[in-house]
Parts: sequence; C-alpha cells; structure tokens
Amino acid sequence: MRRLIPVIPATFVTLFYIFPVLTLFRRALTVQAFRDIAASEALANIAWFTLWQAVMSTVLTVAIGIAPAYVLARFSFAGRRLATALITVPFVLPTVVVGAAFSSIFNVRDSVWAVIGAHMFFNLAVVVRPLADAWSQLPRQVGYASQTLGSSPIATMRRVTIPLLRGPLIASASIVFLFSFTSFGVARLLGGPSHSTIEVEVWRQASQLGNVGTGAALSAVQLMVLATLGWWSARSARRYSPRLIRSPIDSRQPARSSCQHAAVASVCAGSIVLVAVPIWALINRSLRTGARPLLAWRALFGFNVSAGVTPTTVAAIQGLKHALLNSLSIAAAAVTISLVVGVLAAISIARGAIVLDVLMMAPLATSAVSIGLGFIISFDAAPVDWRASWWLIPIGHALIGVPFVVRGSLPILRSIDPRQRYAAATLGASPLRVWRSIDGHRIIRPVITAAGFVAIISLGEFGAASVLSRSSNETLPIVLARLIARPVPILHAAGYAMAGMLAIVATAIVVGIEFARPHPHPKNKTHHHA
Amino acid sequence: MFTRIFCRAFVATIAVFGILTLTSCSASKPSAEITPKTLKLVAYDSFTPGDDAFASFTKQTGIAVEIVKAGDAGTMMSKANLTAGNPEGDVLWGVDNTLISQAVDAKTFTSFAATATATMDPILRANIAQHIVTPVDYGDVCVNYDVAYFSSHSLAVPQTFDDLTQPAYKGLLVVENPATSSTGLAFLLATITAKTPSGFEGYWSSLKANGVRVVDSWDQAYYEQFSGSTGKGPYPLVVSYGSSPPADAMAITPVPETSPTSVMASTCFRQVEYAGILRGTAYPKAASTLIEFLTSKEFQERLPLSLYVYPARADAVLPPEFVKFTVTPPAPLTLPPTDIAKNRAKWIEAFTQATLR
Repeated sequence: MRRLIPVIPATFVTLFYIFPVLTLFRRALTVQAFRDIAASEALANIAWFTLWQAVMSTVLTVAIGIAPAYVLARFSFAGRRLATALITVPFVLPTVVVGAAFSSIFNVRDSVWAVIGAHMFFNLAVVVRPLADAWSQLPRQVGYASQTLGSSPIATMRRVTIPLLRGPLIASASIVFLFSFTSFGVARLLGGPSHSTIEVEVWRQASQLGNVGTGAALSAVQLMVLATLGWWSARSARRYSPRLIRSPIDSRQPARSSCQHAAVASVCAGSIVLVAVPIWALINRSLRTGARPLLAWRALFGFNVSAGVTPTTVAAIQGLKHALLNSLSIAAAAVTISLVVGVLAAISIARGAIVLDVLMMAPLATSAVSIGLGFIISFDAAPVDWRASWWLIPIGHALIGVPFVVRGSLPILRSIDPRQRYAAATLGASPLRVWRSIDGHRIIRPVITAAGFVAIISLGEFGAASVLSRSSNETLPIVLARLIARPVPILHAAGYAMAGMLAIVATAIVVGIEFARPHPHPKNKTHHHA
Repeated sequence: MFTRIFCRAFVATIAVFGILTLTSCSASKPSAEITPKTLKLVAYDSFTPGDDAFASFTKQTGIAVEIVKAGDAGTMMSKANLTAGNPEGDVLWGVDNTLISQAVDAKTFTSFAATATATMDPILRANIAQHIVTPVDYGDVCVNYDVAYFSSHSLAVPQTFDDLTQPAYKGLLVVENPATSSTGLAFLLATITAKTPSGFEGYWSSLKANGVRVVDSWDQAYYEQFSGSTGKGPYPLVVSYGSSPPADAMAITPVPETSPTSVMASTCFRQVEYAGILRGTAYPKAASTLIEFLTSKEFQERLPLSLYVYPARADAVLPPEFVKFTVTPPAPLTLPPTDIAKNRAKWIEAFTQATLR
C-alpha cells in the first residue's frame, strides 16, 4: 500500500507531461534547429533579454518584498490578515487583461521597465508570503541575543536574520525567477515588439510562423536552463529548511515607535493600492462605450440594449456567462486532480523521492505552447484519442497547480518529527490513522490554501488552454482575450467588465481563504521559556 | 526505492502506449463511407457566424455541425499542418492567403471542386492549384483614418504610400508588428507589393524617420493608439480593416450618416480566406456537402454582419448598411502565396531591422 503512493503522481507526470513533451521533441527537434538558433543573432538577443530581465525582476521583487514581509511577520495590528490577503491578490489576477488595461491607461508600453514592473507587481506575494511566514516563526530572542553580544541592527540582519531565512528566500526568489523567465502574457503585451522572451518566441515560431522545430528547440533550451535552477533550488531548500528554529509562540508585537507605526500604515495603504488600482483600471476600460457608459454592463446582465447592437454582439456577450460556468467546472476538476496528485507527490517526496520533486516542478519551466502542441500530437490515436476531450484542459491546469500543492505541504511534512509517528504507532494506531492524525491534520491548512490558488490559476490560465482546440468548452480568459480583440467597442468593453468582475471575485476568494485559515499561531498560554 | 518504482511506472506506461498505438495503427478503416451524425468544423477563435448558422444544413442532411475553435489563424494552421493526415476535424474554415502555402506543402487538405467556385471572381482562386481549398470570404487590410482629426486640423487626407512619409504626416501613423499580428503582416505585404521586395526596406526606414509607431497587436493599435476609436489615442492613422468603418458606424446610436473613420483605398491588401476538407477525415463525402453549404448563398450572406468580411460568392447580396459605410478599393494589392511562404521570415526580419532596432 505504502509503495503504491508514488505510483499515482509518477504515472500522472509521465503520461501527461513526459510523454507529450518527448513526443513533440522527437517529432520536431533536429540538430539543424539547434544550429539555427545558435547561429541567429536575433535569438541570441532574445535569450539575453530573457535572462537579464528575469534577474532584474527577481532582485527587485525580493528587494521590495523584504520590508512588507518584516512588518507582517513582526507586528500585530488590526487588518494584518486583510493586508496579507490583499498583497496576494495581484498574483491571481488574469495577467493579460490587467496588463492591457494598465498599459492603455498609463501608456507604458514597449519598455523593459514596464515588463519588470509588471513582474514585480504580479509576483510580490511569492516573496512576501513565505518570507513573512518563516520570519514570524523566528524567535525574537535570536535577534536580541545577537544585539546583546554587540551587533548593530544592520549586522544582526546581515549575519543572523538573513542567513536563518535563506531557505525561504532562495525558494521564493527561484519561483519569481522562474515566472519572470517564462513570462508570456506580460512580455508580449508590455514588452512590445522589440522585447521578446524565449517563451514568447516559442509561441511565435511554433504557432505564428509554423516553425515547430525552432520552437521545440528553444523550448528545450529554456527547459535545460530552468532544470538546472530547479535542481539547485530544491537542493538548497532541503539543506536550509531544517535549520529554521521554529518559535511555538506568536512573536508579533504591536507597533511602538512612530517609525514602526508609519511602516505598518504604509504596508496597509500599499496593499490596498495594489488591489484597487487594477480593478479601477478594468472598470474604467469597461465604461468606454461612448455616450452610454454602462452599455457593456447592461448587456452582460441581460438588459435590453437593442439600439445599435446587433444580435450577434449580444450573443457574444451572453457567451461570456457560458464561458464562466465552463471555467468554474474546469477549475473544480483541476483542483481535484491537483490535490490528489500533489498531496501524494508531497508524501512521496518527503519520504525521499527527490526525482519526483524536480519532475513535478518541470511543467512550470516548460513553455505552455510546447505542452499544448505535445498534447495534440500525442493523444491523437486510439486508445489515447483524447485531444478533443474537455478534461485535457483541467489536466493541463493541474500540471501547473500540482507544484503549488507540493510546495505548500512539503515543508510541513518535512518538519514533522518522525518520533511523533512512532509514538502514535506504538500506541496502537494503524498506519492510515497515524497519517491522518499526525500528517493529515497539519497539512490540511496549506492544502486548502493551495486549492484556492489552483482554482484561481485555473480560472485565469491562458497559455496551454489556448493551444488546445475546443468546441463548446472555451475558458473565460480565452473568451476575454478574444472579445478585447474584436472590432466592436461594446464587446471590447464587455470583456473588461467581465475581467473586472473576475478580479473582484478573485479578491474575495483570496480574502476568504485568508480568514478561513485557522490562526497559524494558536495563543499559547503556557510559555515554558522567556 | 522510489527511483525503482518510478522507472517501473515509466517503462510500463510507455510500453502500454507502444502496444496500443501499434495495434490501433494496424486497424483498417471501413471502405464504404457512412453518414456521420456530426461533422467537426475547425475554425479560428473569432469565427462567430451565429447560433443558428448551420440549422438548415442539419435539416437538409441530418448532420450536426460541431465548431472546434483552434486558436488564432496562425495557431490553427500550425496545428492543422502538424496533424495533417490525422486531423482534429473534418473541414477547416479560415486559412488565408498568407498561410495557405505551408498547408499545401504539409498536405493538410484534400481537393474538392465546389460548385459555387464558378460564381466567384477568379482572382480569389488565383495561385490555388487543383481546388485544394475553396475561397469563402475576403477582406482588405488598409490604412484607416480618423475623419474628424483631418477636418479639424484642415489637413488633407493622405492618398498614397509616399504621402505617409511626408513631413505633414509626421508621427500620425500606428501599425502592428508583422511578427505578431496578421494585420501587421498583411500591411507589410502591401508595402512589399507597392514598393517591390527590394525597395520596401527603404520605405520602412523613411516611415520610421517620419515617426511610425509599431505595436504588438491590432487591438492595441486600434483601441489604444488610434484617435478615431473609443480609446481616443494620439494617432489619427492606423492599419486596420476595410470593414472597420462600417463596424464603427454601426456601433454608434443612432447610426450616423457617415462613419467617423474611413480608409485610404490605395493601401489595401487583399486577404482571402479559404475552407478545405482536412486530409484523413473519415467522412470526405459528408465534408464536401459542408463545403457546398459554406459557399451557399444562404451562408455567404451571413458573413458581412457576423464576421465583417465580404462573401466570396459574387451573387451574395450585401446588407445595405454594410455597403453604405464601406469603401471598396479599386485595385487591392496582393502577392502569390508561395512568395509569401518563401520570404515571410526574411521580410519580417528586414522589417524588424528597419524599424525596431
């Protein structure tokens, strides 16, 4: 029974990731394609730009993430959990639509800084949340000890705090780097024609120019670069995670000095701005229908808008609702698959299946277009003639969702003292009961959080789903992107109206998850030390 | 322990697949074609002919039509060429003259001579050998202008490609990048046709010197940069469609006498879209009846108001509001698809060098 646990995630990743990607590489990769990309100056520029902007995005995101993480970890204040939730919201907003709304309003296109700024905006939570979690578990006493021994606050930070937080810092920096390196929507939209990433170029070569070979070769290069990073990051995370001294009590204190009050206030204000501005931008764009600003909203809610609007247009807007329901069921399926596969994978990895750790992360590093094309040419004949099946889309989303479930539950599983399991077993519990009471009990919280993330990622996913053909099962982001590109102002506005509602719902889900989670530090009244 | 289990799972999965794939390949296809319950029509995402578009086809033949959306036109054709011989559907709608050549090379389609071809302008079928695909619609990509801008600035509307490089029109034009936008590609091809393959680079250098703006997609250009759309951007000249003026005019309530936008007829590049039977379909006969339906008068007359294109059939009646606001270019520009396929990458690179670096 125990030995069967790794089989499910291993089969999943083999069947739905390794098999399609290898099929694509086998069909399309040639030595000549690698020679061509090595010889092309344009592609060298793209590779250099991809690397350069990813490094910049990572460094800057970590730099601006440290201060809010510190405030959230060290101070207790009203609205702290709300602020934590709001900082998370940008990460789950649909990039394409928000990017379009932003750039049109602020007119910041075609610039490297727009790309880097957007990466910082969307990925801030990736740094702040894990860092704040780890930081809050770091006993204050460690810092006091250092200062008592004569270190300045800066030296304490440099020599004690940062080294102790190295594990979560490396892990979140790696993820920001991964997301920035594989940036697709943001790079395409804000980078403009002269700043393309490898991921965008794979899409352009494979789907726009029909050079599937060049696309596959670029995709392979990207995978190799990121696999190296993933291997290094997984190794470092393992090396550093056990060293974190976990404090059993809440080390947060109210702000005291005016300086501390200002820090708390700016984090609160900043988190509100992060959410309010994109929603405002979307709503603003949804009102641009000439003399009747609410036209798109009226059409969306089924009011009579007959004058000047063709029946086809109204039908297209009504199609959004169908797409929304469709996306919701796809999200539900994606969450279910991700949870089953992800939790089983995390258990296997915690028991030493390191290969699985890297393999489960690999889909994040692989160009979505490659995975999509791989699906189409791999699942094209009986008995796996699945390419028109609706469930390939949730499977694709689960490939992206599983790493989140694994990342969320793995540190907890690793931190469980095995002696607790031995004790439970000695007391007569069956293996299943041991798992349920010791492991299951603790990972339920991170797993619920991950489930929420997978749901929202699935609702906003744009890459792999856009390559798969579909008959009636179009997802919301695809319909949105299409509406925005239609030469009819009301459709354009309706797309933004729907995106605005999606952003508001996403915000509500994130805030809901934050408040539904039990408090991470149950007030421990019986301190044994102090 | 884990590595062993994983290797076993991997080997087992691959083995099972290998066996199943082999056995399925050897299964022979039935020789006599039966009438299918459903035909799959592969189309690009923006194919929206209306919900009841195929009702009469289903009534006549008893065959339902399932529309399979396959992404934008480029993605759709990459996938169709990659799956040639084992297609995702039976009929494909919407391969255009910039993409058809690769599909011919990949043997994506099987030939079928539709009856309606006789009613079409032969120019639509120029360079398409052996009825490999059937023309279904056409449209133009042209420079559009904001009528109010030119009248309020007392500036004459530019008439030719050369006018666009004149100082009077400095910083007024926004175009799409041909590397990422099919509209941009069509306009690049228009300049190549007008200025010859050796002269277009120089032309783009002068456009750049005259402040042309290049953006990634049509919607960015039209909705954000163009002054004549709801976006109220800074550029009064934009590369868009010949059907943009009617679309704009009909979006205004009440519908005005003249459209707020119009086109420079001399800059129009003709885009022809085709439909074809996908090679490898189990129902070539049923598929051919669907091609006949797509080129029928009934279906063709739906196209102007649902897809904003002209029907390929010359005898299809156009809706009056469509005719009223549309400027028909007297001599639209065009290039042979084989030339496009052969030189596209090179031309796009030359464009990139001339304007973006």
